[in-house]
Amino acid sequence: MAIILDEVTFLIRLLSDNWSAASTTLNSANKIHSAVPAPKFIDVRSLEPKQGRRVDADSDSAIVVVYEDSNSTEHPTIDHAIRNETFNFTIHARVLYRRDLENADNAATQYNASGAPTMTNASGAAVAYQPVKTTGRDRLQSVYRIIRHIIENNSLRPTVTTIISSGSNAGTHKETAETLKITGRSEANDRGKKLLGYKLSVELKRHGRSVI
Amino acid sequence: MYLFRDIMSEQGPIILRLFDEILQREIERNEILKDSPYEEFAYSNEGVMDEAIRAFDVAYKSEITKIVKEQVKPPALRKGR
Repeated sequence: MAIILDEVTFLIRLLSDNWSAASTTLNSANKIHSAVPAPKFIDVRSLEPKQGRRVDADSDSAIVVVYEDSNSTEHPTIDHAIRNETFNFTIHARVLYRRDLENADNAATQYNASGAPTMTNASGAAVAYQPVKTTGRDRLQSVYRIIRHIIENNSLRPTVTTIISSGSNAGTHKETAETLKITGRSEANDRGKKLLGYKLSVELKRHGRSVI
Repeated sequence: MYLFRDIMSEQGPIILRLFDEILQREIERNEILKDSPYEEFAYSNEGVMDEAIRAFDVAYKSEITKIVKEQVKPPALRKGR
């Protein structure tokens, strides 16, 4: 029996399988502040009740929730023998940012020992706004850039491969789609819970699939 | 213009139902997260409302476009023109 992934799982697997390599690549290219370990990917449909357990928010300070928003199907041929499908997802990255708020001097100009500003703008004036406590924001930006990198690098024929080494399912199982792209991003913060977030709209298309 | 206004007043309940459906969806998703080990990452009630309004903003545009396309004919296609 083949391994069949539903579309949300397909997207989560694509992100989690490629996370480590993307994080290292972007960090080496100075595109993110530091290599970010894979956050917890969540499909809300399969979350178990906590039963007393709770994640350590300090060690696990980012989650990525993936859910499907809509799907449309069309049968472009007169005999309806093939199917084109478009799936729209939201990838919601959430980061705790309470540590960013510890320093009241968050936006002060920084000076060195001799009183000169440590950062200047193009005209030589001191940079008046240079946030110094940005752990949460940096992390969110890094998470966003890694997700974007993975999607952009798998925009054509994204493939998730599962290799099973033994048993009746042994073999290489591949799940594919035709195109994948980010169609937008919006901020999704919650000041009450001190959460920072980005919501990414993502479109996945499967074309010309046989109706068996 | 009057025609469009009349159609929109008829569609008002549909628009409100759309918001209600979106709000319910956001509440359910947040409740699942609240009840999981990732409770820290769940939204506050105000956050859920903000999320619902944001999602509604997107859905509303496509719903209005659909209604207009279905019910408002271009002037050249209207009877008697």
